[in-house]
Amino acid sequence: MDSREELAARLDACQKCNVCTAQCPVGKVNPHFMGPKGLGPDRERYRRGQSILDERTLDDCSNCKTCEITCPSGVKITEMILGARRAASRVPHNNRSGMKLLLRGYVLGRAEYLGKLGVIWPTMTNQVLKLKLVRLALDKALGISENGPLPAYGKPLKVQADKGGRNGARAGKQVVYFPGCYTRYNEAETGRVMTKVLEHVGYKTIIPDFHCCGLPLEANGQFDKAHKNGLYNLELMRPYLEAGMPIITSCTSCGLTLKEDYPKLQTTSAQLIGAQTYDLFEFLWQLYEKGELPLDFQEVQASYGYHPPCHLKAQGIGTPALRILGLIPGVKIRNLDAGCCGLSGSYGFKAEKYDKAMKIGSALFEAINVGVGRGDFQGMTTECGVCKVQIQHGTGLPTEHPVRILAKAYRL
Amino acid sequence: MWDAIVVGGGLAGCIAGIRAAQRGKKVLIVTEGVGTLYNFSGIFDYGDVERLREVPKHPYTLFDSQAIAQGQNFVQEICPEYVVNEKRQFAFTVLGTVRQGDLMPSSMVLPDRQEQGEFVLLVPEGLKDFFPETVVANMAREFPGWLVSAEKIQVEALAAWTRLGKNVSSIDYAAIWRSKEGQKVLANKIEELNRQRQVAGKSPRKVVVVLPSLVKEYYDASRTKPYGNEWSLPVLEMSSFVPSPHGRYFAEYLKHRVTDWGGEVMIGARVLALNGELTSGSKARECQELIVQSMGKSLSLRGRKIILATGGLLGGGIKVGMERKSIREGVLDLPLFVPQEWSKPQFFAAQPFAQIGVETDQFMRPLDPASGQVVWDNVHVIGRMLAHWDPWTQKCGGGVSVTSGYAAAELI
Amino acid sequence: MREIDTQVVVIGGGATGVGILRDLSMRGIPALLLEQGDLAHGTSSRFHGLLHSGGRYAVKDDKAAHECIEENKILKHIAAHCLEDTAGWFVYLKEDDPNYLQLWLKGCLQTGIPVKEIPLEEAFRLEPLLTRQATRVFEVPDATVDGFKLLWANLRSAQKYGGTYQTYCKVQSLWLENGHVSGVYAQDLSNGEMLQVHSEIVVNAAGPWSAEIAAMSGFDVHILKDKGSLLVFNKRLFNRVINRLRTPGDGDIFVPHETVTIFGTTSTEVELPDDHQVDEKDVSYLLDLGQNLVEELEQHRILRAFAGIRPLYESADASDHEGRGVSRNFALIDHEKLDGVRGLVSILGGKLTTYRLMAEKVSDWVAAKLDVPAVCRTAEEPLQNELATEVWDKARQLIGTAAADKMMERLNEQAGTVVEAIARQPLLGQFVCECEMVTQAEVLHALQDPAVHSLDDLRRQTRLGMGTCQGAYCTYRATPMLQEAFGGWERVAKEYRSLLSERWRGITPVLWGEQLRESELARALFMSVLDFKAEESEG
Repeated sequence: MDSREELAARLDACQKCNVCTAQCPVGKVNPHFMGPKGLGPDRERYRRGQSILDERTLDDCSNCKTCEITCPSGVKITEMILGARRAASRVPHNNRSGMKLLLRGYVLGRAEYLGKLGVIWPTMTNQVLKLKLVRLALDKALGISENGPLPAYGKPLKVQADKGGRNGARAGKQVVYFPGCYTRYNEAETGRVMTKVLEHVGYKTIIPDFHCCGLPLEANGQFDKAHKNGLYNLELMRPYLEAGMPIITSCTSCGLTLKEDYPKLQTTSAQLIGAQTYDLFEFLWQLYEKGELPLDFQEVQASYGYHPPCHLKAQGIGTPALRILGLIPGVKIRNLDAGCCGLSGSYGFKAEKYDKAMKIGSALFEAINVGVGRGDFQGMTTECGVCKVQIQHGTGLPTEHPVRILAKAYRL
Repeated sequence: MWDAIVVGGGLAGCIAGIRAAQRGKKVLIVTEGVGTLYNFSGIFDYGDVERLREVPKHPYTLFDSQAIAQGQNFVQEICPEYVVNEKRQFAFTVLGTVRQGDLMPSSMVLPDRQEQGEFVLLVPEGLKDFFPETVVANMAREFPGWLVSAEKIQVEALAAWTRLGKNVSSIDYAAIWRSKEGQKVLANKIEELNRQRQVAGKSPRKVVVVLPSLVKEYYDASRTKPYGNEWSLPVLEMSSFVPSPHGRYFAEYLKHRVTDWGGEVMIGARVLALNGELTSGSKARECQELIVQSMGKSLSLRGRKIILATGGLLGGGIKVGMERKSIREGVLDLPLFVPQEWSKPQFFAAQPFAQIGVETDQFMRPLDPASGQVVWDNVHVIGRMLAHWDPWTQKCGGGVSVTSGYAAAELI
Repeated sequence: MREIDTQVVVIGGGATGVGILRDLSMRGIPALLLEQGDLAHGTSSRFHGLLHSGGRYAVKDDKAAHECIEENKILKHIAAHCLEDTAGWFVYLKEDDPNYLQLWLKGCLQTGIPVKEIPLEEAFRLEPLLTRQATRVFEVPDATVDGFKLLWANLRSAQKYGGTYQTYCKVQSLWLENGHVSGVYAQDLSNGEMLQVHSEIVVNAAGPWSAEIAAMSGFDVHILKDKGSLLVFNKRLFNRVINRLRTPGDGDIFVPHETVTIFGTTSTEVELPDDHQVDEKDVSYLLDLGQNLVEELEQHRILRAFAGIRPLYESADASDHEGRGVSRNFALIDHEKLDGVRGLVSILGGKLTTYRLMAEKVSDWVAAKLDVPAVCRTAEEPLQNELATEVWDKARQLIGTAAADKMMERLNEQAGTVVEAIARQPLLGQFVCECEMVTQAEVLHALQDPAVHSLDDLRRQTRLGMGTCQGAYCTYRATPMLQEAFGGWERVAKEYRSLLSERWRGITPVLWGEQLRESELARALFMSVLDFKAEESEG
């Protein structure tokens, strides 16, 4: 069954039960939003062959995929919504607010270029972004919220050339790391820790000069650019994929894109990418199951609350980070699982969506505050960079990628 | 290697997973979505257990009364609001009609008809799928001699919805009643009702406030701030239309019980098949690994026990192909009992197709109906996957699921 | 007994009867239409919704083909809002007869049916589900027609010109005096009251029931009751009508219809004019045939099956008595010539595409009898006026384009009040039926129609309950409106039961896959969540 028919089959699976709408974080804060069932499978029956001129609330979907994860029938809801957005994006914008949104979509969608810009003079950029006036200007000119928790920029992660190349791969013990824009430009240290951990467990890391995975571009309506990036990145990965090398991601949204969207691209390596992409902890758990994971942990006396990012759930691999961290003596960790943080990529950066994003995250913030109040944990951990930014913004609690905890246990 | 992998995260699967985790077992629940839990009315139906145990091959024939009681006690252990009474208990349906229920939260239990009181139905403004006139009329008919009136109640947080003329789901209202703002609005309203009645100085009738969309149960102190539910008048919950707030909170509560006791939930993944081989010395085979479709690739999971809780026809565990040429159990391809006659001409009838399912031995291990032999030695089948029952006409959906889920966990 | 006086009684509230009512009314002839059930409950809603181009009859029946293409053009002009001008394809498969292809092309040319060949690659791109066994594809001006909308548009137009009608009113006998029909005796089934209707002319347009009416004058017409079964798919499989290019047979037409696809048909002679039950054998047979036109047909969800009765007229000299062989033409029978009863005319046979032409012929006959000089204007005057764009825009703004457009097509001139109601009270813009996007305001509006006696009547007017859930959710959501219109909980519960039973009859022949799941969900909703009791009758 090709993807079109698969989609058709999934449309038929919808039982009209409304569980997706009941769970949708956006629907709870935005009265205009039609909800996943309405925008997805309900309208999809109308879209087939009959053009629908106004698709007014499509852009309100944050693409968190909560609907797809909870659907009892496996309906590809966000895929339908994205398809409709793609179709709607072909209609030209011709008014001013449309231009503004287009420009913002351009800026926010290009986390990568913002990143590159930011890291040239990181300190200065960070200072500039802290200026109220600058944020106000961004808000007014581009609709980027002046209150939103824009991430800071640091020293970027270096590209690591492939020393052995395909020969090295044949020798085994090499992986390709897809750091993603956030790790690369905003939190390169985590990327560096990643490579150390991988090295410790016996793998050399190759980091080609990837472009943005494309997910923020899609979310901001830059569908052609996202498509181009996908093809570009796949081409970079092709030799490694053909050599059977694993691709490791530490950002759950990049991971989801590589696993879900890249296999649909029209190029040969697309058929390999899905099966060869691993979330870091998914990869480590596989090593553990094979008895290949070094267990030379030192005790780490710390307790954490864990937030499973929406896009990790959407990968359908459970919570492997908790399994690995559970092996470390001393580490106490509790899966809060209290819903979407609200930021959802760049959604919460948008001026009109800032309050909504904070409201969406409120259940998570409450769970964190209650947990801290009870003394259950002192810090938070989550794989996703923007979830982290949002959690720190919403609760003030230090939050780190779980690989940092693992690195401590490995004394790295 | 997991001690047990539970396939399916509905009521039976969650009960099995929680009990197993509570017993210290390493347990993983793999589920495609939230199953049918969101249809849960808040009430567990057990049906006429003694009579059903005499129906040939009914799932209750697999359990003795002690096992049934154990399951019931377990529900009460994890949900202390649930009560079992000597006399029969009744609750309001969403239509205001009266239904019996075997295990229900104390705040749903209807007062004695003989008490001659007064119901005040609070109607949240714009509540979706709720029809106050019908409900008031039905309540008045069901409780002859009682006064029944309706009062509107509004909350500021949802004003934007009502202004736009958008319905608000009972799930969203339930969240409001569990928030600080909602509690305040409710407390004020109830105090106002109380004062009015004191001023009027009427004969001391018992006044009962009824609030659709209210869910007081499934409170999780480790994630949620305490919310007050002490009011100056008794407040009665009623069951909701689907997706229901009771279902939503119950589903989340169950999931958190699994993870808080050390289990894991892998949502968004579909179990495709299993691999296993003959156990030496016996005809039954031992299942060794499950093949799970995650995003982009299939995973292999190994468990000592496999609990099959995929929810039958409605849950998607049994797939019936076009013209019923293929009728399959979707995970292990277990042999199924398929009734000869498929349906009755009346819609409101005991439908033969509802009896479809897996026949098992007393340990809920799947049998081949032809030979009567156990097919898999380490597989247990629970809940709606069992053959020979109809939860809707026999009113025993909760009973069979809880009992079989609990009993399976004891076998791990 | 109630007495009514009119000039013409039209028996039968299908497309033909209502078409006749409109034509007569436009000529200024007072007429009353009597219908035993709801309008369009018979053949006029139990067909595949195809507005023929004539292509299907181009080889075998050039008269029918010619009538079709002419009426096709007329209806596209007068009833544009009831149609979707999808075009139709005739698909020639590898295994099909090349001689027939040649005859067909020649037939179309002779009858004036425009044919355009579509390059295969283009065809597969436009219709991805089309079988890869197709070797040639030809486009003709087929279209799809909504039988309900067409009928109600005719009725409203007739009413505007003074035509009257009564539903749930069954004709019991003809009022005959000295070899002349003086009217009919009928019974109002809603209250049991007897009616004596005096008229100069009686028109028998009762479709499958017309033999029964004709028999009341002592005349034995043979109507072949030819049952055609059809399947409804959950979505549009195609965006064009797909015909198979071969001798017309069973299971060779797919018609995209609103949100669904209708596929049929079969042809079986039956005894009863309301034998609408589809059996599983018909379904299997259809699906086997459907595989020839659709890739992986078994992957697609079927909502239900239904059947209609084609009332085919067999004249005494017909040599071919098989269903497919009998002419699709119609016949007008002046009973005076056959059984000596003056003032009675029967219109027999025909098909939906030619309903207007049939009405024209009957009305010409009636006008001649009554010496009314007025001529037929139904081919020129559109059924409905163009709606003001402000109303349309407002509707789109209030409830979204998809829902608004469907509603406007259904309600047309009456849409204004519904749109206003939503504007005044936005809550009324919420959907009762989410699958077919039917608003509360529209349901309330439809319930004001005195001809709506049940939830099932409401379904025919609004499409409520015709979507994916087949009534599981929308039945419940209609509760407050039903309670207001019909009064009382008992009655509401009865309406729930009868609509779900009606839907169930169509679901049981296709009870598998996702619709089986949906049915389990519907049972859970009604028997558990709403706590309805099972019926006791079965063992």
